[in-house]
Amino acid sequence: MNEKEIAEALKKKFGDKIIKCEIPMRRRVFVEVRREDYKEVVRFLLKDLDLKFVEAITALDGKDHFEVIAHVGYSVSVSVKAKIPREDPSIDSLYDIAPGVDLYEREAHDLVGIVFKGHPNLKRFILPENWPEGVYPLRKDYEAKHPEPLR
Amino acid sequence: MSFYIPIGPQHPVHPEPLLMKFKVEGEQVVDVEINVSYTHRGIEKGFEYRDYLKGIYLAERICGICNAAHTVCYTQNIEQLLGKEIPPRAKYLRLIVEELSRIHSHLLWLGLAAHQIGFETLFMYVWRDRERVLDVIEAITGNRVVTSYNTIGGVRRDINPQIEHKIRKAMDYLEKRTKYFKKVIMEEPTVLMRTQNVGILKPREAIELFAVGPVLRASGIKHDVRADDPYIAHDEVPFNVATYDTCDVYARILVRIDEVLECINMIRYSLDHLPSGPYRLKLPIIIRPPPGESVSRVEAPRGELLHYVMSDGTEKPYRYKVRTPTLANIPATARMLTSRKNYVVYIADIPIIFGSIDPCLCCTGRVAFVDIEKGRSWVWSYSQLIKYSRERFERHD
Amino acid sequence: MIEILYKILEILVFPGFTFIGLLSLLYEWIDRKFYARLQNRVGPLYAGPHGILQPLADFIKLLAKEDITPQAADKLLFTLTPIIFFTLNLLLTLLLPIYSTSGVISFTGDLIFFVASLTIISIIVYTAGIASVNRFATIGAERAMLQLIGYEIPFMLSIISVALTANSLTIRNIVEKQSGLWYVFGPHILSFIIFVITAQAELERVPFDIPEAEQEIVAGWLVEFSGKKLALFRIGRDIETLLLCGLGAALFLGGPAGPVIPGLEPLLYTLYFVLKSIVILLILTTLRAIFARMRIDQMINISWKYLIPLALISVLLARVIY
Repeated sequence: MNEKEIAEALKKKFGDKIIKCEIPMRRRVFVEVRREDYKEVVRFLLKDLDLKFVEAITALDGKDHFEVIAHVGYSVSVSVKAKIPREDPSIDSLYDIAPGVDLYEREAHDLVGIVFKGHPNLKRFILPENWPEGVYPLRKDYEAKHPEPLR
Repeated sequence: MSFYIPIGPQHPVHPEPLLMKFKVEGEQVVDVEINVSYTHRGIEKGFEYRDYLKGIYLAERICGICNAAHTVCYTQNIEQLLGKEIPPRAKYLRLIVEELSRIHSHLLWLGLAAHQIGFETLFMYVWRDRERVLDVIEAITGNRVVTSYNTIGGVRRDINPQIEHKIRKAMDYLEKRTKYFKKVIMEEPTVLMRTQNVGILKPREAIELFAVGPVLRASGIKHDVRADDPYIAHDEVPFNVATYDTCDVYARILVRIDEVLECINMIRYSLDHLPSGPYRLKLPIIIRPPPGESVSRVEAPRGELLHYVMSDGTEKPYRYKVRTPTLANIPATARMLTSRKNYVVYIADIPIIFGSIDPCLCCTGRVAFVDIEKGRSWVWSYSQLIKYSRERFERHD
Repeated sequence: MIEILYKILEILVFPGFTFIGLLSLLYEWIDRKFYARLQNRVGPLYAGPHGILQPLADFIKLLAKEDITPQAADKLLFTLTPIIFFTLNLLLTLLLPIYSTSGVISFTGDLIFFVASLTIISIIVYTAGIASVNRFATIGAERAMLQLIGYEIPFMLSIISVALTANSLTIRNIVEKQSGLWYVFGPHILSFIIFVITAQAELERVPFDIPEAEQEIVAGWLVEFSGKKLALFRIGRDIETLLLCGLGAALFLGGPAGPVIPGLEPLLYTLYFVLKSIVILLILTTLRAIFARMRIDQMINISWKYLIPLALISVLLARVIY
């Protein structure tokens, strides 16, 4: 399946649940969906279109909202983006359709603070054990300064 | 009687710190828990503070051995954002250095795998031949391991006929030696005893847990980013994807050795068909790409590498994400290390199973931060340090 | 009176403890140098001409290091085991026929005493690992005992076949019976091969260095020992290497026999003995270089399925041919 066919199949199945769908270059599709349809779209890509692999889950801080992007792909890479409001940073976990995303979601939780509902084991993964709660390094309000030299 | 054995964070078998807590009964492993957070360097946050050209240097230092793959992925990403295409000669030169670094990485790994099963002699022989690859890389790029060869818009140096001749002679030597190592691995009985039917990962599990790279190809699944999503000159240079279907450590060793032989052929083909022309596009030093996103995938020696960038029009990226192959292989490793009904894992197999995924933990535990003890610092005396370590030992057991 | 003094000199200097100590360090150098050359490396190079003083330098360095006893370890056993290991090995060297057909001490049935002490040495290894109260040491000690179950029987059987042919259990008689034809060229070639393989397992060298596997369990049963205790274990291990090579030379290669010039007999006998045991040492080193390490279950499998039947066949051959 090439990228145009994938975009067509998505539009046909989900109609106007897809907010935006772009093909910026060969073998790349960028799709934006709402938070509620995120899991459904990823499941469709993974199982029905047989794209087989969820390669990564990116979480980013968009100043007035958060975004979660799931990169799905085999030969074509489809990035499914969902915007989530800052006051309620939670989204469905992909764990039950794709158990291999375990570590990606834990990393996103540690660094940006997004809660994945339905993930069985959302504990600290990438940061040290004595890292303070509620401080999320990849958010834009966290300033990474140079360490102070000890005198 | 079962008790917990920690392998790590400091252990002679690990080149980098990680903690694997194994629950063992006698000599058999029953359960495993992996913790990779010991090397955290704040690289993703670091990208947001550096403009795109400085980002190349940061991308290079994500991993010492896969550095060619990381820079190819990064520069490709930025070029895709800018919408520019690099000249054909640059594509072929990038391919040559990328494949040379793949040969280097696989030979290094082969020596380490031999060391982990106790076969010191093979370790010494392979690492002596690895020096030949390093000589060639030094002739092309000026450095032995961290190549610093790619830049946004192409490569930084050209090759001349003397270097080409040196590459060809080294390829002939390496082909002979790699075939010899393949013969040793396939015929030496103690190696076969330690690597066959050890560390089994069935194809269904490999797909379910999203394994990448040689781990996936050793379970019979034919997926290689160079073939499925070709980048640089890989759509013009023919090669075979090496797969084996015995799903064990033996298959992974053979997949990597076959990949080395394929790399040698690819380098020879590229040298024969090297297009002439410029090797670099002229781009400004401070780059301001238009707002947008881009995803770039590259087959690093350890597996599939994915970079994602979002730019907002300024000279620094808004968000840069790196997903390295070893992180993707960790759930598959945890599955390989647990004993199941007809499949027993012994303690003696732990190093070779874990080593067979070719772990590169400096790639794995990388994301944001700078310092934990902000402003707090204190000095401990030796006896206080011992007291603290004893307390932690008692608490965690 | 003068004889007692003479005997004490023999025990302490030549061919007793001092000589054995220096000879075992020489054997370690030969082993390391040959192993390095097989791997295309250089080996020890700087300490003394061609690195010959390297093992001595390592020993002295270890003596100077800090000696830490873990808090949870059994203090008595932890301190005693290195001493007993070293002492027992050193004592057994007095039985080797170095400068004549009998050792400094020789009595009827000393072959059995020799082999029984080697078993006790393995049990000391187990005790040392258990006394360290450390996970890795426990696993290493456990593996050492499993390995003992594997190699002990073929080892004894190969020695028994020689004893059957010589019709005696005294090392001196076995050496003297070989004055016509060395046993290795006769019916005992199979026993010799089994002896060499099981000696490698006794000495815990690759492919049988399972109790001490560096990559898996961080030095196994030795992990908690440091400083003087580790030095005693290391030199005890070197002396054990000398013991087994010497035993092989005595039982299979005719001991110190060879063409002599009357009057210079002790010197020439020692020379022949040393040369023959070096041959066995080189065989052991080659085995070390060309194999990978086995797993413990594989080692026991091979031992019980292949080595023991072969050893029984060699005993039968010895009985039948003699």
